[in-house]
Parts: sequence; C-alpha cells; structure tokens
Amino acid sequence: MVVVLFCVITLTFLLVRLAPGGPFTRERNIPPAILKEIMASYNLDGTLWEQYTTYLGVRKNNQGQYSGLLQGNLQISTKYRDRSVAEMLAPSLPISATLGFAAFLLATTGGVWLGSLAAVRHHTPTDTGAMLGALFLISIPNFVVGPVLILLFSIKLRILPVGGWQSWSSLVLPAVTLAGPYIAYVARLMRTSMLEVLNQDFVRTARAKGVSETRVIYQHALKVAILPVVSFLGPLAANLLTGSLVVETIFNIPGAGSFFVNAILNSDVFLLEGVVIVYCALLVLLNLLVDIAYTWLDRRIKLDS
Amino acid sequence: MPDVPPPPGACARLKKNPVAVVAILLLAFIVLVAILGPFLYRVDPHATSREQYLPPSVRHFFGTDNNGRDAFARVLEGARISLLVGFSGALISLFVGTGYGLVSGYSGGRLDGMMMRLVEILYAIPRLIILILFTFIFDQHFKTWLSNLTWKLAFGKTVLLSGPDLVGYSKIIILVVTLGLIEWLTMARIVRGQVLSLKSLQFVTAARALGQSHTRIILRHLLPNIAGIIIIYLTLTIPAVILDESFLSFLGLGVQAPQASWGSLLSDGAQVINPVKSYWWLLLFPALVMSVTLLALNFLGDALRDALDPRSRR
Repeated sequence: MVVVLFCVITLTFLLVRLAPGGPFTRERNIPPAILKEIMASYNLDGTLWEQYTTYLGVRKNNQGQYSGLLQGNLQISTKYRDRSVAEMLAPSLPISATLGFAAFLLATTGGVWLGSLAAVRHHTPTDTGAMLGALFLISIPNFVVGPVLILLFSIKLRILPVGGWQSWSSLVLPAVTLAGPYIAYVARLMRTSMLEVLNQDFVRTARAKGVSETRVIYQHALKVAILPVVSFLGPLAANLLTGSLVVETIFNIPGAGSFFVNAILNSDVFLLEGVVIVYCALLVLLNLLVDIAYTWLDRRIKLDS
Repeated sequence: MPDVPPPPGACARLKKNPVAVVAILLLAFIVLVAILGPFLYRVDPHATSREQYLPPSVRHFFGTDNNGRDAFARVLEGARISLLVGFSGALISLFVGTGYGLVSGYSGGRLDGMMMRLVEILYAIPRLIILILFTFIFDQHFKTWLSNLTWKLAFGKTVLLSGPDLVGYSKIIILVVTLGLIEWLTMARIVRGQVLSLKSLQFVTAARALGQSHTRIILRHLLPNIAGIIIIYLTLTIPAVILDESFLSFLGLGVQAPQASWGSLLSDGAQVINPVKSYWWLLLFPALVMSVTLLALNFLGDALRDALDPRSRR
C-alpha cells in the first residue's frame, strides 16, 4: 500500500514537472532576477532530484527546514499565492467525500437489491426489465443524465435545487447522477453471481430443511453471492472519484474536483500534486478497508461450509 | 493475428437475436452517416453566422448554437471524432490487453502473480486522473515535435500529409493512444483467465511434446481459441473509450475548439440549460445520438457474448 502511494507520488511529481513552461511563465513577463527569487521561495529551483527530495520532506528546503509530504505539508498554491494547498482542500474535501459516500451507498445497496431481485425472478419481465434498465444506465453518460434530471426535477417540477450546496436536498440529484451507471454495474455483477449461487447444493439443502425462501436468499445465498461485488468496491471507489469531477461541474458543487481541472489549466504544480496525492491516498485507504472486509467475509464462509 | 471465424453457429445465433440485428443496423447507419455525412451535407461545421440559437427547422435540422454554427454539421463532426477515437483506442487496448493477458496466463507462477497484482493496483487508482495529466503534458511536447517534423506523405508532387499539418490533431492522437493504454485492464484479466484454463488442456501439452516454440503455441493454438472472447470485449471497450473521451472533452481537457466531439458538444449544450431560457436542442440531439450509439454497442456486446460464449448463457 505504501509502495503504491509512493509510486503515485513519484509519477505525479514527474509528470507535473515535465510540463513545458513553469507555473509563472503565463503571466506578464517577470524579470529573470525576480522570477529566480520566486522560484527559490517556492523551492522550485535546483535539480529535479533536489526538488523531489525537498517535496517529500527528506531534504532541507531553502528556508532551512524539513517541510514536505512527510511532515504533512502540501506546499503553497502557485496561482493563488497566499493560500496553502491544504487550506484550499480542507473545506472542499468533506463536500466531495459526502457526495462520494452517498453515491457509494446508493450504488452498492441499489445494485445489490436490483441484481438479487433480477436473479430471483429469473426469466420474468422483472428480470428482463431490470437488466434492460441497467444497460440503459451504463450507456447514457452521466453528463447527459445530470442536465436532464435538472431540467425535469428542478426547472419543470421545481422540487429540488438546480445545483450548489446548501441543504440535504441538493445532495439528491448529484448522488443519483453519480451513482446511476454503477448501480447498473453492481446489479449485473450481483445477478450473475446470485444465479450461480442459487444453483448450489447448500441453497438446496437450506430449502430442503424448510428455511423460508426469504431467509434462503437473504441469509444464505446473499452472503456468498455478494463476494464479487465486494471485490468491485475498490474500482468502484476509484470510478466514483473520477466521476465526481464531472458531476461537481454539472451541479456547481464546491468540491475538490474543480481544483483539479483549474490546477491543470493554470499549471499550478503544488495544487495539482496535492489533489492527486490526496485522492490516491484516500483510495489506497479505501482499498485496504475493502481487502479487510473481503477476507473477513471470506473466512466466515469457509467456517460455515 | 490469424483471422479466425467464430465457432460455427455463432453467426446464426446472432442473426436470430432481434436486438443484435437492430443494434448492428443502427451502428452501420451511424458509421455510414458519420463517414459520408460531410459529402452529402455540405455545411461547414466551423462556419459562424449571425443566426444564433435558432431552433431546429428544415434549414438547420438540429438548430444553431451560440456562434450561429449549424448544430447538425457539428454533431456529424463530433460523430466522426468520437467514433474514430473509440475504435482506434479500443484497438490499441486490444493489443495491449491481449498481449499482457497471454504472457501473464501462459507463463504462470510468480511472473503471473506479479503481473496480476499490477493490474489490481491499476484498477484501484484513478487512472483517468493520471491520464488527464499525461495528455495535458505530452500534448505540448508532441505539438513541438510535430511542427519540427520533416516527414511527408506525398503522392507525386502533391503533399497529402505532413508533420506540421497534424499539429491541430495532436490532442486527438494523444487522446487515442492514452485512452487505449488505460482501457486494457479488463481485457488482460479475461484473456489471462482463458489462457490459464486452456493451457492445461491436452492439445497444448501435445503441441509442447511436438517441440513447438512458446511463441507458436501462443499464436497458433491459444489465440484462435480465445478470439471469440476478444471480439466480445472489443465491442464492449469501444463504448468505454468513447465515454472516457467525452468525459475529458466535457471537462474541457479533450478535443480543442473549434473541433467538436460528442463530449464537447454536450458540455456546450449543458451550459445553455438554465431556468431563464433553455436551448434544449443543443443538449438533446448530441445526447440522443451518443446514447443510441453507446446503447447499440453495449447491446451488441451482450448479444455477441450470448452467441459466442455458450458458458455465459443461462
């Protein structure tokens, strides 16, 4: 896990530094002497290796301190000069996290429910309808779904806000838009695995000994059938995170996504590195949790059988 | 790669599936219109006029946009770019994914474990974010490289294509390559799984006993057997790549104006939807065309899976 994070940090650092032109070359011409001073104050002078080690915090910076990632310092934005990256991300990350979490819950619970339903009612209109709907959800991009939902629920029906981030009701449309395709993915995964599990011996045994159909499905079969979904949770989190960039744009949500796009367009090196590193760190953490959950679930099944 | 026909009966099975037939016809129609469009509908997609925001009419099928450009011509141009990106990106991912999966599955053991671990890691990091970075940075280097290029594609004395001509397309080229390079993970996993189960079968042992080289076993014995599955996932990768491209363009990081792709058209369309006045046709038509294409591709992929992979039929 630490290795992955380290690779991501190094890769991001290298990619950002490879960009032609420094963060200060776009604005009006700065005299070379002053530019040199500015670069020095941001620790952007020196060789690539020197910059890298300073950024990591294993080398003293020009101010004579160790102050890098190891010390928890994400440096200062080069575009918005007097704000630190941490300061900029702090208010926006919880917003992105709330949206992401809501979508995550919606995608998993909705998907698992829909998929199991389709599997249990195999070869009925419910099954066909659910899978058809899933295919539609996967195929229609969320930047089409978003504006259409706004048009319908906010402009025509006027029951939900158009965008922004004021109350809980402004969470509904973005979360649905973000979760939509993944409800479908999870449902398809769940259906396939549930169909497989329902044919297995232990399900027949459970039915034979008179366990009610609801309990067979929701207590015996679901526990096993949910495993592919659990292993999809890691990629799901990564996809939701990328998806949130677009959804935040559509609904004008002041989350961390907008910083990413702006930082790229402004060559704001530290902000860019900060956003990517924080995102990846979150994902690595989430993946660890998913791995733990998986082994835990898996062991219980081994013990049961 | 040897061109291998799907197992007998697959085509017949596909033809019996009405959804698949409709999907194929729709796709053929869209591709045809995208290619022939500019010859039949001679309106410059970049020509601006004073006729802003005209609703759809006989003169402008899909209306006009904020610069008075004909939206139908724009959607056609977008279709060409999006489809091109989708098809070529998927092809690149096909080669990378199949190669990776074949090597990983065939070699087995520790190398296989390491390669699959890498795939798992790549699955879990936001690849698109890293690749947005990548495209943005390399686009500028690539442009400089292209404009200094002396290479020419000439026919007699008329120069058809030269390096500097391609500068305008550099972003698209970079997009295609990078998108191809991120969408190969699923393909690699599936190919590996297939190879793993195939290589323990007797015909592989027989081939090895005959002293055939690893390359020959992989190319002549294993590859034909997994061609069906590769075709299925190729069909499913195309919509994924189109979606990724439109995602980038929607954020303003994909194709550059005045060129259009479905994503950038949708981005423009979404901006003019507001409570005061909504120019719905700028959102509706690109959305409709794009969704229908993606739906058709996904339906076709599913139908192909049913037809080519009997095990997945339940």
